[in-house]
Amino acid sequence: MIEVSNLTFQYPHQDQPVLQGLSLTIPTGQWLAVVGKNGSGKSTLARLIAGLLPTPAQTIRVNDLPVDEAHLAALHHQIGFVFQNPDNQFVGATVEADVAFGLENRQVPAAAMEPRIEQALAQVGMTAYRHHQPEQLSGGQKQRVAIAGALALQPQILILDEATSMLDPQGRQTVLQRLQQIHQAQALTIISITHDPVEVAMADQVAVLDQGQILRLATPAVVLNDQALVQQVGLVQPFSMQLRDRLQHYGVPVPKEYLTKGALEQWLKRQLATRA
Amino acid sequence: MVEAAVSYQGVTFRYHEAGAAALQDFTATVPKGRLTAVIGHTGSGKSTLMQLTDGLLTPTAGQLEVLGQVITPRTKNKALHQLHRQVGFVFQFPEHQLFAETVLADVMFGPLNLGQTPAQAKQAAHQALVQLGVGEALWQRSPFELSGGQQRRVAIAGVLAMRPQLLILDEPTAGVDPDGQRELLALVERLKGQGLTILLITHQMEQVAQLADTVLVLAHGQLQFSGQPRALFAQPEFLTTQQLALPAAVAFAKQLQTAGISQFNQLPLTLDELAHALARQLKGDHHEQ
Repeated sequence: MIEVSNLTFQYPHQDQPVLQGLSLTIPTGQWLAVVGKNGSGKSTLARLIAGLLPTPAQTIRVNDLPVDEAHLAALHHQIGFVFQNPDNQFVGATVEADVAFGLENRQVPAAAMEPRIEQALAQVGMTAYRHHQPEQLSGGQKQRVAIAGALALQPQILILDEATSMLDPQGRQTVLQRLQQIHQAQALTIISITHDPVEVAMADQVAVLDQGQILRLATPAVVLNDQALVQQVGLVQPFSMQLRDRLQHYGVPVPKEYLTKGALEQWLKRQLATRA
Repeated sequence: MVEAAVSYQGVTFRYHEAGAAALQDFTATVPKGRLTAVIGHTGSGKSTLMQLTDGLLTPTAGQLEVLGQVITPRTKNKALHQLHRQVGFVFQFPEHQLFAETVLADVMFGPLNLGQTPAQAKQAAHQALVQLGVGEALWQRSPFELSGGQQRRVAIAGVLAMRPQLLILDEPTAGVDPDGQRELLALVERLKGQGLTILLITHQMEQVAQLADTVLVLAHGQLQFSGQPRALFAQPEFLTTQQLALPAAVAFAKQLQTAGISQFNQLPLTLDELAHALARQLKGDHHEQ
């Protein structure tokens, strides 16, 4: 469980806090999507949870460990963090060496490393590239490797900071589905900072950040159905919601509630059957 | 028949004499004043094709004609200077190449390099920045202080300031947030409306469906398809073999047909076309069937 209580944080060179009295509880095994415009404080929150910035005393606990200097090593054993820009975190000379880097840091025995590297690369679909050098990879492929590097460490908490932004839509879908399987099978807690409606829809809960505070904490269905909120925080609506609204524009009386693609298909089926 | 801005005639390119061809006997045309989408996976040869088009590479065999200039294996680099002036190439993540002290200086760099006077370069930069919606308040700021989306627009302004006749955009919306993506796509629409010839490399099939007049599909250095988006997306088996996705609206329409829920005379290509066709059916207008 991650507990954030009354967290205020200000960068030294800025004149106002980026996070203001924010409180949030993330139960173990939850997938939380964090959304909000650039500058809303979402990346800062993620970094503070992972202890990557000086976390104000007694504001964050991760599995009962206070996030502070004294507990950093223990925390980093539990948390895997993937940044948006894969160039800033690619350290190995090859894909395989890059994934191995974190394991070597943890002093994982050589015999145990190989299967973990193999599994992590398979999970992100990069097995065929294991001997490639970073400059031979596209941005999306580097992001896959960065995710593999975090998964190989078998963290209890995985934090993704726009970590799939450079993947093409199918690639993103595949990687997210793999993450969902791991999330469900191993009760992996995921915090994903994202603008992607597909990624938001996969989460259990969505935290909407605005000006350093939580504007809304609700299920994806509630958040994605709120058109004003979706626009305010710079998200795009999922396809099914866009189609529903466009049908309404053409004079079709449509349901008001959130519809997945499947639910919209079933609704169309019933409507068209009564017309036939 | 529309005039061709670029025509490729049996173009082959090898990076190493003995190596595999990055591009193999490639023949296609890019119509003038239209938007041509280029799609293909990493390693399909699309980057090589764009570098040939910009005159950064010359073919190993065959020839191409870009904006009236013929490029053959014997063409000297010197002869390609004029071409570099006419082709604007916006690379992937172009903001990584920003370097100047101010936004304005960065955008002026290209026009100055073309030999324009500082006054001319400044005017060209102003116009491009306005076109990209980069507010005057930012012009004297360091480009590195800007957000990612703003940096992307400054980098594109730097290319447009050179007033290219042919614009190559390599994944212009990759890694940009949704608001930024909408703005960039609106810009591409505007440039297209102004009659600029555009080559758009993209992975996003929605962009192909919405924006492209013509599509070129590449795989393993060879042309797999050349034609209109509607014709491409009407071939699901072909797309599967190419590992390409359908645009969301086409995929949903096909799903409705397969499930026997709805039938379409012509598969809708965009969300708007799909909603329109469904609305007619739902309102009992059966002409669609």
